[in-house]
Amino acid sequence: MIAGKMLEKILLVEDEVDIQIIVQIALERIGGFKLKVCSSGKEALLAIPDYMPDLVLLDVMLPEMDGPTTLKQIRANPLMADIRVIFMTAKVQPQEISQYIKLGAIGVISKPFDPMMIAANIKNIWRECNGE
Amino acid sequence: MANDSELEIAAELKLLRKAYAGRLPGRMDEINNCWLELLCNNWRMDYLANLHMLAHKLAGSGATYGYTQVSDSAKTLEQKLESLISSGMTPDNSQIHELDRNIRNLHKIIQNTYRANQFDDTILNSPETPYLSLDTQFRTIIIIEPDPEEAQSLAQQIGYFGYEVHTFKDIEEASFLLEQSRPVAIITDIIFSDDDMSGMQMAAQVIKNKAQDSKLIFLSSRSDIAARLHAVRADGHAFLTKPVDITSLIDHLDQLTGTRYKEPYRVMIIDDDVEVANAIAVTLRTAPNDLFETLILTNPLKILAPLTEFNPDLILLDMYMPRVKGQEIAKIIRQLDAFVTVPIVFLSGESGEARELEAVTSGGDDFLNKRVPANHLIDSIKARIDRSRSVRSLMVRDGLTGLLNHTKTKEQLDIEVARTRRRSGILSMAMIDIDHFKLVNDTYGHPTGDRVLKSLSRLLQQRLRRTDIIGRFGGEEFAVILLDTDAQEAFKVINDIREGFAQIHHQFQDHEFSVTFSCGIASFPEFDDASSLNDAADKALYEAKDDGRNRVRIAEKYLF
Repeated sequence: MIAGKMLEKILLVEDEVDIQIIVQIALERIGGFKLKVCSSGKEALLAIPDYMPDLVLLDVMLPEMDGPTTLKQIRANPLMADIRVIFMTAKVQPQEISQYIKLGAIGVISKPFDPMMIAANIKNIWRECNGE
Repeated sequence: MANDSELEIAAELKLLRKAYAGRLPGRMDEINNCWLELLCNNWRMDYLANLHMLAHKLAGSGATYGYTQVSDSAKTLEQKLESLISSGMTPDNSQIHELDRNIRNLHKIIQNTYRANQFDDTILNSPETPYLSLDTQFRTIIIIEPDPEEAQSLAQQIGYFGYEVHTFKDIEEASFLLEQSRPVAIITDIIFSDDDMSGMQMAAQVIKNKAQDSKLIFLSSRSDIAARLHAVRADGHAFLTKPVDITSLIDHLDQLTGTRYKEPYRVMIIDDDVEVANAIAVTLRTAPNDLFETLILTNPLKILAPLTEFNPDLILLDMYMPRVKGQEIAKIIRQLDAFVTVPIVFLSGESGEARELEAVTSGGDDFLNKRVPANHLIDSIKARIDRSRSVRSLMVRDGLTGLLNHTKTKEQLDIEVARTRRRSGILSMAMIDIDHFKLVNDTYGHPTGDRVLKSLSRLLQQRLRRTDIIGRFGGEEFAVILLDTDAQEAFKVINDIREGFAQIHHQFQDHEFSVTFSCGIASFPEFDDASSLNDAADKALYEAKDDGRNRVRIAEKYLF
């Protein structure tokens, strides 16, 4: 537990309002996390230094700047380089998942997801990443 | 659980699910429109990408909100579009048809999901219910007319009635869309002379080859028997002389779309045995042309709410259920004023005269064996519904316009106000009156006046949602009840219709004229019962008249 940092603040980057709404309920109400929502990669890059989330939940298919590009930008900026990222995507073939992990994500939440379960899934990924 | 009880969150999620289902038709509209754009614009890459994006989003959110069927169907579509995009090729005919099937399938699933969600008792907030009908796809009209001005003016006129119109100057230009969009009708003005009538037939042949199911409507400045005969031989569905009387053109188009567009037969199946009920529902639903809509009820004691919400055309009722007999349920249904005439057909595993007699004396209309062959089931249900619909329509509809009559409209107003109050919802009532209608009758005669009334009634039917209630209140006065709509929104909708109506060219012999209307709107709960709504809308209407007519006014509370 020494390396284990508590997961408290999450930033969701997702352009679709329908998904924003349900993730918000699931993570705030069920998961008890603090959540901020951004609608684009650009918005996220501006918000992160202020909000300093523990975790970024990043949709892969975003308009203009997609998820992987956003992740690269996050990694390139020393201020936020070590923030953990989980992708949200419908593409969850094994080779696709390993692609996301190579890019530096700690895990993947597949879409569609069960709103009652997503908070628990995120907690699991977080724990595994902490080696618990 | 961190803060809230699981139950509370589950309830909240349930509401969210409903709200999401309420938004689905709007999203389907986007997909339909995008698909049409794609077909009309030679597979422009940006439309294709957009369509893919829309399918992708739906696939991702559908099942997240618990609608897996929506997700699955959208996912199939998404994958097909994806492989199309990555191949970089224009799809061939069979691929286009496959995509089209996919989109229609999705459309159907969404309609069902949306409807299924309206039956709950909880409030359904659906401000985004589209005002234009969903099935624009099946209302495509193509005009082939060399004169661009004439084509434009005709397209505009037809467009007011809710049709999707595309104009082309010749067959070659129309070629692609003829094949792909399956227009309901092709309106063409093919110029021909006595010695070159064969040209018309040839042109017609070309069109027919490309769009087999579409009907041809010929426009011509000639009206002699020879020209008409050639039109008939060219397999023309209608032949109209110029200047075109827009009302009769729309009559023809409505007839054509009417067959494809008929309201589905709503059948409610009450049977405690889910499997039997499902088997019947599937049989009905798989009948050709999407003839039937079904609702299954396995607990007959919960019949009251779904009965009013689903408003069945016919009820299939199991005779023997554990807690209650079919006959008892039939009696309950017959005690509800609104359902005195709805046909009830008993289902039973056994047959025999005594049973059948018992069924009929307790208020049932017919008796069917559960093991009846599929086509027999479909035909007998269809025949019953057709008959009861025509009887009902004589009772409740206005003969000229086919809209609800005065009594029925008032009755509906009472029902809707009560329902809206129960759900703490909103609704608006609009009273519409044609301006200077007496002058139209006096100048052009009553037959022309009647055509004006019909054209307004059509316009209202085309432009309002199917859930809205439209009645002819008498003379030149119409009443519209817009559900889930506040006064501002109602104003926008009716004002659009007012502008459209004013631009319709009515025909009297060689003379064209236009007509306007005035309208007053009042909304619930500002006016909180049927009669004060009616009075307020009426007063607002007369203010609109006083202010110079051809305008819409909203009733204001403080004036009362």
